[in-house]
Amino acid sequence: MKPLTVAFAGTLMNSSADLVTRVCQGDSDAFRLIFERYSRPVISFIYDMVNDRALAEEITQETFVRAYRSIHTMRAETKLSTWLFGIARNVARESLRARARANNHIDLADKSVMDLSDNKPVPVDGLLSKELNALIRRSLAALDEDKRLVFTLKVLHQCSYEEIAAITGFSLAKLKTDLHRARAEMRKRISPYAGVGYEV
Amino acid sequence: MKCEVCLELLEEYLDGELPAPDQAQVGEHLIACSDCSASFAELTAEQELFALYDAHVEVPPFLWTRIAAHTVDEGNGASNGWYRRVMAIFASPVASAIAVLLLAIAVGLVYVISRQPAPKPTVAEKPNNPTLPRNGTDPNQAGGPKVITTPEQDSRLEVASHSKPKPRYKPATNRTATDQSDVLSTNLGYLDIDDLDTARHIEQSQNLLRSIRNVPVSDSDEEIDVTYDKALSRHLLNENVV
Repeated sequence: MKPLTVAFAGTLMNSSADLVTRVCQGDSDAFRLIFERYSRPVISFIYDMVNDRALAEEITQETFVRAYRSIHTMRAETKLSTWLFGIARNVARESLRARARANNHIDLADKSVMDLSDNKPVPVDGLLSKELNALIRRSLAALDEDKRLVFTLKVLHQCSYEEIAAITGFSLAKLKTDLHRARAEMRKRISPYAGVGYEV
Repeated sequence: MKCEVCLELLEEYLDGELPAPDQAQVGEHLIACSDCSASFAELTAEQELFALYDAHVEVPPFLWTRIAAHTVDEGNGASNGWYRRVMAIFASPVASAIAVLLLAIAVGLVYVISRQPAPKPTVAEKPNNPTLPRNGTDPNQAGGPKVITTPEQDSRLEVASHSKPKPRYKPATNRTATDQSDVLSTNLGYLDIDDLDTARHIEQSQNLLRSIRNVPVSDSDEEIDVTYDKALSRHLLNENVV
């Protein structure tokens, strides 16, 4: 069993700020730790944004490569997760636009999403796995890019408004408006399944 | 607080983003107003539903391999890592200041050393001495250790040394780092020696010892051939006795 002091020192050395410092000093193990810690939320966020698993993997790869190459420019006061999400958001945006230019764009206005918004009562218990996930995913894909971005960051990744503003570059007013509209649209799409139907 | 205002602030209240006074007011209103409270309950249920959402995206094992190939592996192979380390050192202002100070000290030392005059040689050089040069290396040993001087060569040396006017021997007072004069005698030991031949022999013997000591030690077990050195030493000693 390790002595308490050693274990405590090890924990300190593995804080996000310490990992960034170590990467700047050329410690490749530290970058691997950053990848292990943040790859899951980053790839989930990207997948929510692009709705394509293979593309999400590509964008995640590009995100971490860019992060490694510019980590020495990261400001000390910036949170590593916020910084990584910001890079991921930029890479995802570039990728989606490139795809759209190549006429391989993702069909965000998927008709099947709206088809789900009927008034049939569906038990929530039956949806809690694959169907609910599929419904939310399709509903997300139907949002426009900015709304999808703020909704994903706030509701699915529990970022604060401040963090969302840092990641997206949006003003507080815009992100509040986009978030409110995104919630309303999402509510409309999932309400038959969730049993919610109020108007806010 | 009116219900309209409360409903407007409900999402921010749920997100915990309201300023403390507004947060408290909405909380109080929700306790008192059943309609707003019901709306908040639905909003909370919706939030919980989204919390159940799991994109089921696993990080594929090959992803790190791909990323490493473009990042850490690249940096380890080239000067990237070294460059990053240097840049990281200079990123700190204190480290930069120390580095500049050290650099200034180093430049100053080099300047001071280069300004000092070179020491004048105190011993007359004998560049024509074919037996052993002043620097202690035997040219015969460079080509091979087994070189024997012939009596004719020795006699020529004798003739050459006697044909020139013999200056009074002045022993060196400022020896080089390789000086090993303490082996045979000290400088003071032969200050009063007037016999030039004796002084010359002593110097030759010292040179001989220097040459022996300066022979590089071989790593292998081969023995160093010192037959030449022994012969020369014996010859010089005999000259000294005569």
